[in-house]
Amino acid sequence: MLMPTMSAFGFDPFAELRRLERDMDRLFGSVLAEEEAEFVVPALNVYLADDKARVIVRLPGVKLEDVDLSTTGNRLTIRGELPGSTVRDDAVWLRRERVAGPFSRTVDLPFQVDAEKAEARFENGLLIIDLPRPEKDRPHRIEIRKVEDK
Amino acid sequence: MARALTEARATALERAGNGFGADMSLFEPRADIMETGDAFLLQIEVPAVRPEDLDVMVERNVLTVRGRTSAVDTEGMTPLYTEFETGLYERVFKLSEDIDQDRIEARHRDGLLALVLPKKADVRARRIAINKA
Repeated sequence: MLMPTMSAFGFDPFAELRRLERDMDRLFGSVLAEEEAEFVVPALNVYLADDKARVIVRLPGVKLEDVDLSTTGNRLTIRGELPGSTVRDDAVWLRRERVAGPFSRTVDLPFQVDAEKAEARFENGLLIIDLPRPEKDRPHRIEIRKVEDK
Repeated sequence: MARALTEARATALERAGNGFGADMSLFEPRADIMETGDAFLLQIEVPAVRPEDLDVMVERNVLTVRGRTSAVDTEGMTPLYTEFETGLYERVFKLSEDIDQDRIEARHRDGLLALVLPKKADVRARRIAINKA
């Protein structure tokens, strides 16, 4: 589990605990837990239509050029970096709740996607990715012919 | 937290009167708060909120940040997996007399709300020149 960094003085009392948890996860060979411990995990929603999948990721403060998308078959991987707040040289932290650092999410879709035709954009801190389904792979309706009764 | 800026919780009464309806989920957005010699700087995460649905109000030393999230258009699509939903963001701060409430600035970009709360001129930190003896 990744805990948000909450610290009033730039000192993180949970850092040691997280490190310990990470070591324990490694010891027991939990690949998933290891991935979660190393990366921030932004929340995402996935929607499906016959012709495409739409993935919406909550990434406030992130710009499109800071996001890296890759697909393999039906798997989409989103990577990037949450930049964190801009800190002025003369500023002192009073409260730090926003999570910063590299993030990674992998989504398995129920169908293959056409990576060439994928489109991504940002809308008010939400990354919206449209992944079209290849034409030949889309469901199509089969005409039912009425057989005349004899 | 500094005495000049303390967090307050909105009362149920205030929430009922927010005009957003009682059936929406209420979220407390994540915030970073910094202090400089002349101001307090806040950065609050408000993803999925359109500029017109974001509200920053100061009333009797209470600063309220409210936003209503909008769902991305998914008409004709079915959800496969959902980790977040639409709702209402709200965060309330009590301001001390040290803050110049008439000069508070707010900027909204990329799902982030940045607030600058300037300190009144007479409470700003001043550097005192040290004369060489």
